Amino acid sequence: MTAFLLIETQCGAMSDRFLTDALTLTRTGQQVTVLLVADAVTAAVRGTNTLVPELVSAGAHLWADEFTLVQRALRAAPLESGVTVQDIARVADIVVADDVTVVWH
Amino acid sequence: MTVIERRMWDLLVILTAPPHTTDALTTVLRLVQSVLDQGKSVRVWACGYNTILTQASLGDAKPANLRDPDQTAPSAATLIRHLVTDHPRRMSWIVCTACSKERGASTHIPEVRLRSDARLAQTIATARKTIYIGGA
Repeated sequence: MTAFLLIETQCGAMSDRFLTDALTLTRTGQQVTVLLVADAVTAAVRGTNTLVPELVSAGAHLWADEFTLVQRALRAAPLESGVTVQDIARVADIVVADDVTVVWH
Repeated sequence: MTVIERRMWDLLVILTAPPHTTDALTTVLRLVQSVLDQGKSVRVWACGYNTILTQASLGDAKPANLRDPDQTAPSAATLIRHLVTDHPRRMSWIVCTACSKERGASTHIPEVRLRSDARLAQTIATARKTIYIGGA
């Protein structure tokens, strides 16, 4: 089974559409990891985005980029349950893995 | 018939999202450095306004920060130069000639390669994985 790494860098309506696509993909049984980085990292903070807990419930892996959290003074903010903080080295592992499709938005 | 096998690169990043409007360039540079740290090979194809990042006229350092004039920060060209020179044969920065010409970015640092957009498909074919970052 192909795994997907979906990298979200934006916030707002277009980001919600991308996360909705991620949700659809997850519900079809695909292995989906969503990385929230740059402007998208605020969606990892508890209560800011309704799609994030839905993605977690559906079985997607939700990652928040540690560098971005620190850069935006959000490292101590409460994150949505199920969101894990990852550094870029872990992301790089997945990006170059053979059976992972990467989509950047 | 002689068959010439082309070298395969582990990762190709096609960067068309404009720099300095979002964190895209910073995120790409962090990701590229991290992939290189794992011993893999990376190519970046710089399109659109990313072609101005490697102009020689940028110099080695950014203009002085007046709030902290003793501190110097490397220019984008310097960061890219070090990425290439610190990882010989594993890192390549390609500048799209059409986008470069369109924007008057004529003189680049010698560490980057200039390549016609007609060779983009061939460049993709020699990468095990390609990430396209749109937004130009």
